[in-house]
Amino acid sequence: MEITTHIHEERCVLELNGRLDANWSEHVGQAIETAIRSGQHHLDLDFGKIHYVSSAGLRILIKYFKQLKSARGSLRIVRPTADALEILNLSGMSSLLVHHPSPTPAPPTSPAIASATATATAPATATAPTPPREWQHEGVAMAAYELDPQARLTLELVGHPENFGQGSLQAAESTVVRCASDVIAVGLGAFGRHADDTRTRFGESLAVAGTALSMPTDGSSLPDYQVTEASLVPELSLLYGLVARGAFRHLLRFEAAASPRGTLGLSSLLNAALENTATGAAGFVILAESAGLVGATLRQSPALAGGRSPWEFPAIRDWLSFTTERTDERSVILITGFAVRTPSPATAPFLRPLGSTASPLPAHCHAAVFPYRPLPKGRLDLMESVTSLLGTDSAQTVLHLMSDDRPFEGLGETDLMRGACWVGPLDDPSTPRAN
Amino acid sequence: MLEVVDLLKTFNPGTPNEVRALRSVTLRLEPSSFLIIIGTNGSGKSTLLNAVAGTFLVDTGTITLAGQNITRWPEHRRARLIGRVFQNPFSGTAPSMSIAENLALAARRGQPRGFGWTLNRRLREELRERIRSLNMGLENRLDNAIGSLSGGQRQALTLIMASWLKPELLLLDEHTAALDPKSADQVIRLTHEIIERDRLTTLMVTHSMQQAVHLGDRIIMMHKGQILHDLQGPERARVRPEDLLRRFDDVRRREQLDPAVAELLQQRYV
Ligand SMILES: Nc1ncnc2c1ncn2[C@@H]1O[C@H](COP(=O)(O)OP(=O)(O)OP(=O)(O)O)[C@@H](O)[C@H]1O
Ligand SMILES: [Mg+2]
Repeated sequence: MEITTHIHEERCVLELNGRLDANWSEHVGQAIETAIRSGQHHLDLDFGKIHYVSSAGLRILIKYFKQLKSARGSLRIVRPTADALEILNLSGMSSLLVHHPSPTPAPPTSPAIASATATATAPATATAPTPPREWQHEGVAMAAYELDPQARLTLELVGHPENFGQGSLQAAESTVVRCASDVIAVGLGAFGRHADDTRTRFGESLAVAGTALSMPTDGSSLPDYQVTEASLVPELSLLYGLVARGAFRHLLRFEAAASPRGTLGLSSLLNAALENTATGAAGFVILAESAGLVGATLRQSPALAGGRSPWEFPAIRDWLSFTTERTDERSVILITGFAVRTPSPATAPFLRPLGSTASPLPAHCHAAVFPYRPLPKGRLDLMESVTSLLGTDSAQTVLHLMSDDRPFEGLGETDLMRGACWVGPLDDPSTPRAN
Repeated sequence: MLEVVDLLKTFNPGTPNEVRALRSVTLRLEPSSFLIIIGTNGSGKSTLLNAVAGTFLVDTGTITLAGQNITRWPEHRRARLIGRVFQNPFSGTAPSMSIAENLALAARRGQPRGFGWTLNRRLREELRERIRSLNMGLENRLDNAIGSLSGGQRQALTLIMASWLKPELLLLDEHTAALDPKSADQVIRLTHEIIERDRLTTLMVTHSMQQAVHLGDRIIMMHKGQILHDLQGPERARVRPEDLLRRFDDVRRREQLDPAVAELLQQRYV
């Protein structure tokens, strides 16, 4: 991101060149702040070279729009590119921000970030409150709320994970997934519609409750994100991944403080969730306080492998970063994932054994890591929780969770302190019906 | 302007203690730029500064300063162009000599000795003024031995001495690392002031990410005798201490990714 500032007709013009994403929005915010502090209260942001604006970028724009307005100043976007204008239109912000009125009238919406879609198909708001079923699982206090006894998720497989090992994943073969509020997804993805735009950035991604997060592999240090905003629905280009649509059947709350271990392993929680919902396949979302994460993050976009296998040693060091010690204790993590006890041949390549070597659970989970904050107790609403999480904090990283069962120096698996797990039985169309 | 091209330095070559301390380091520093060097212990930061200062001669590569190829110059000759401050408050000054004598020495740096060790009155007044501006109460102690001063006071004086003649290049190697936090702050403020005022081209080594982010206009991170990251321009402008820490973490993770972890990843990552 390059920013040049000049004064034009008594307005301070900031010319921006780059992507207005999580990685750069703070920097742009600082430039605006500097201009304001130097006494400039009428700012024009020249968007002539901005082709992408994520929710992090929108958040900054709105913040300073409001701040300047209350100081009787103004913030305007001038010369937006077609790409930027589309995002501003869909998010309902162009009428507020864009100086030259856009040809397509923007839907009239409040500029408040991520508040528009809190109802609709929100999976966790369906039924009247009934008391939760309570029990102990490995000494951990569990409580299960039934949200909707009919709720199901339907799985869709995207792309070919086998190609990762061959280094033959192609940006041009990625699939754009619209992450509406009834979608959960995990996979290797990037924001952007065109292969030229996404090629260098594919990384661990996840989607839940109308929000998508993706860890870019282009050297950015922060995950980027999109939240549903008026008519703007997040779109994630997936090289490969698991996508499911539908609703959650149960909400599990767990509290491990008084348990013998003091924590709950991720695979143990998933097993409890599968048992509670009496299913062998599930999609789930977990919002929890972590007690140590174990996982891996891509360093380079796999679409750049050019036929070289990332698995070779030592070249693998350029491709993957492994949490060589348990990290991010006492963070809040948002996990999206899938677990299938006996996956079909088509689904199996998307899953890896999680938990102990003795009784592994095939699963695929991605986690977004946030600064610590206490989670409310009781019957949590998923949409509300995710919206509030992203409304205040930025994710620090996104990683693929895995178990490390190496003898002696193995780190074990991701452990959780307390939290919530939304779970829905998963229909896998690639599995022949058993019953 | 400082230009360092392809520097190689191996200590104890051919012995079991062989260390490749600099492996092809190339660096171009514009006049008046202020470069911060960070890196793990033993990554070659001090070796790079020593190579430039001429503490030893490099194995291969060239060093150009202010348009002169100084690669083969002896240390004392380079001292006319280069000011240095080390971590240890007891190096860089002669402890038994007075403040005034030490400063006189600095003022004559690079000139033939035998000029006498005393200061003429004009210079003495100039120094007193300069020292008064430190607000360390040293202006009335010009005739006290330097050895009687605190670490912070000595580093401040050393810094003034090193920058007195407006050197072409100022080298600072963890020059506040041995000081208590308050003294370190004072010396850092003075550092900033002097470099800004005289627009000195500076290389500063530090282990403090706060200093790295709040001082200077460019950051390089060294690892195993090489430059691993070079942050300039907008990238530098937005960097935060935690971003730098993350990069350190990353280096460590990279090293710990051994064949056993590689195998684990192949089994468990998708
Ligand atoms: N004079 C020397 N003789 C032999 N080895 C040396 C010498 N000077 C440095 N080394 C070795 O070269 C490597 C780089 O050392 P250097 O002092 O440059 O590291 P550094 O980055 O300054 O570390 P620190 O943060 O600990 O000051 C180290 O392995 C060190 O032991
Ligand atoms: Mg050193």
